[in-house]
Amino acid sequence: MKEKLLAAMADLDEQTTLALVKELLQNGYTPLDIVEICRQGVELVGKSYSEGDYFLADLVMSEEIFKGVMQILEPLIPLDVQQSGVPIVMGTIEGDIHDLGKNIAIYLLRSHGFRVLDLGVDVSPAQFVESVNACGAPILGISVLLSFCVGTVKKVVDLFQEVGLRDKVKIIVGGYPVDEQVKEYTGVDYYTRDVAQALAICRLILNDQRPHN
Amino acid sequence: MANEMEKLYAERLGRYQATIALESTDRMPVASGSNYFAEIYSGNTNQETIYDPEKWLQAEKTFIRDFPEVDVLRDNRVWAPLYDAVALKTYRLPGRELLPTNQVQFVEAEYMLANEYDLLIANPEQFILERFIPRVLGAAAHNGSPAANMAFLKGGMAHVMMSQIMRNRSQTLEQACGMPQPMTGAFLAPFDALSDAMRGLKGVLLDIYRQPDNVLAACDVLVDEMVSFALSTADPLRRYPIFVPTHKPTFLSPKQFDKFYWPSFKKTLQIIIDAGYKVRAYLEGDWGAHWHHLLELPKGTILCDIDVQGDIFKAKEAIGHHQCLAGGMPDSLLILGNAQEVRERVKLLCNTVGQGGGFIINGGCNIPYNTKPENYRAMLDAIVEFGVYDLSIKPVPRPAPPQLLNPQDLKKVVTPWESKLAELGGVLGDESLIRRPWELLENLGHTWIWQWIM
Repeated sequence: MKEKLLAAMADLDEQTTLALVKELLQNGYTPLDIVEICRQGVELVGKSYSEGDYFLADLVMSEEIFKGVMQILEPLIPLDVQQSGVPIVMGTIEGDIHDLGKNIAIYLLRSHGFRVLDLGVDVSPAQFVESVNACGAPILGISVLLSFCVGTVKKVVDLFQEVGLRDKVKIIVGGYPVDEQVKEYTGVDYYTRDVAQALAICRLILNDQRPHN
Repeated sequence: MANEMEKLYAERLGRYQATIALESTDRMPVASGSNYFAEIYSGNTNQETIYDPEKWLQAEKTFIRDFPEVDVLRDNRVWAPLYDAVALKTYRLPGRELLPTNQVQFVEAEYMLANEYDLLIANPEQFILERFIPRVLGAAAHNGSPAANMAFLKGGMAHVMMSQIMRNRSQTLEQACGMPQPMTGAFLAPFDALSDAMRGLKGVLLDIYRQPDNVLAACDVLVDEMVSFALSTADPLRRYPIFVPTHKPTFLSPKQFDKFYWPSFKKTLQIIIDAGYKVRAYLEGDWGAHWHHLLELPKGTILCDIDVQGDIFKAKEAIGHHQCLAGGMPDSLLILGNAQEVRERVKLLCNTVGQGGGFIINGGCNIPYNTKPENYRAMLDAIVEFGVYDLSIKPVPRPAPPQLLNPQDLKKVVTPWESKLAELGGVLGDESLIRRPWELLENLGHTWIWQWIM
C-alpha cells in the first residue's frame, strides 16, 4: 500500500492519494510515516519537473494534493515536530505583488523539510533584514517578476551589508527577469528561474555549511 | 509638413507591414509593441500615463522627436478613470494604491467558482452579467442598487470617452508625427480568458485535472466571444495587427497545451485571419515546447514576440521561415548593460536571426521602463547600421489582407435584433434604420461587459 501511495502521489492522482492516506491511517501507520511517503512522492514530482516531464501545472496540482493530505494529517502531528527544519526566509520584493513562483518554491522547500517563513509580497528591504535577523535563517529567497524592481533587490543586499549581516546569509534571487547580469548587479549569491533549481541551491548551501569530517 | 508626415507614416507602416508579411524591405523596423520606456522617458510618472491623456501624448511626441528611427509607437493603454468608475478589482494602479512611479499590476483571484462551468457554457453573456461582473466590479456588487446603476452608467460613458481618447491620440500620432501603431484592438486566447480573471491560474490548473471536459467546453464557447471582442476593438482600416498577450502556455506541458490551449486558440486566430486581420502575439515565458504550432496558420499572419525566457535562435529555426519574430534583446542588457554591449548584441542578431528579414529587435515582449536612454539610443543606431536589407526599396503600405469572412457578421450582441423586433411586434418604417444603431449599441455593450476579463 505504501508503494501505491507513493505512485499515486507521483502520478498526481488526487482521489487515490487521499483514499490511501486514510487507509494507511486506519492500518496503523503514523501520520509522520505517511507524510514521509507523500514527501517522497513530491520528490518524484520534482524530479519529473527537473527532467522536463512535468511542467508547472503539474507542480501546482501536486501542491494541491499535498495540501489535501496535510489537512487530514496535520491535526494528528505534534506541534514541535511541525516546527523543526532549517529556516528559510522568503518573500516577493517591494513594489511587486506576484506570488506564484514564490509559493511553488515554498511548497517544494517545505515538502523537503525546510521551515519556510513566508513574508508575502511587496516586502521592503528592512522587512527582509529584520526577519532574517530575528530567526537566524541562513538562506534568504527573494522573488521578483517585474524587471522594474531589480534595483530594490540590490537595496536588500546593500542593507544586509550595512547592518553587518551579509556574511550570515546566502541570498537567492528567483524569477522572470534574473540572469547572471542581475546577479552581478544586485550582489546576490545565486539566481534561478526554476523552482526545482531553487531547491537544489538551498541544499547545496546547507551542505557547504555543514562541518566536513 | 503634412505631406512630409504622410510620407513618413507610409514609409514606416510599409516597413512594418512588409516585415510582418516576411517580404523584402529597406531595413529592419524599430517596432516594439509595448514600449514602456517611451512612456516615462520624458519624465512622466506611470500615473500620468494612465490618468492624463494630454501628458501622455506630449511624452510620446518628445520621445518621437528624440528617437525618430522608431517605426511604431503604442497608443492604447487603459485610461484609468474607467477602472475607477466601476471599481475594477483586477488591477492595482500607479498613483492609486501603488507609488506613481510603479507599474500597473494585475491581481489574480477567483471571480468564477469551480462549480459554475455549466452556467458559463450554457449562456456566456448571462454568466458575465449576473455572476462575473458583480464580483469583479466593486461598484456593481449589488445588482440593481443605486451604486451598481451608477457604475454601469459612468462605466459606459468612460468607455466611450476612452475610445475617443485613444482614437484622437492615434490620429495625432499619425498626422502630426507620421507614426503608425504596432497594434490596435486586443483579445485573449480562450484558455487565458478563462484562467486570467475568471478561474485564476491555480483554479484552472486544478480544473484541467478535476473537470477537463468543462474546461474544454468553456474554451470552445469563448472562441466567438474573443473573436467578437478582437474585431470590435480592431483598426477598421485593417492596417495594424490585433494584439493578443498569451499568459499560461509557459506553465503547461506540451500535452496540456495541445489539449487545452491550442485548439480553441487556433480556431480564434484562424477566424480573425479569415476576417482580414493579422495578429501580434506576445508569446510570454518560454514557448519553446509549443511554438511549432504557429506553422499551422497561414504564412506571415502572426507577429510573434519571443520573451526573454525563450531562445530567439531556436525560435528562428523552428518558425522564423513562416512567421515574423520579435525579441532577442535581453531586458537585463537594456537595464544594466552598456551601449557597447547593446551594440554587439544588435550586430549579432542582425547577422544571424535578422538575415533575410521577418525579424524585429525587441526586449522580452517590451522595452522595460528602466532601460538606460543611452542603451536605447545604441540599439537604434546599431539597427540602422547593421539592419539594412536593400535601400533601393521604398517601403509603402500594403493593401489590407484578403477577407474570407465579414467582420460585421462575427461581432456579437447580448440581445439580437430579432428578439427586439418580436418584442416590438414589427416596425412600420424602414427596419434597417432602427436595426443598425440597435446592433451597434448592442455590440458596444457586448464589448463593454467582456472587457473586464482582459
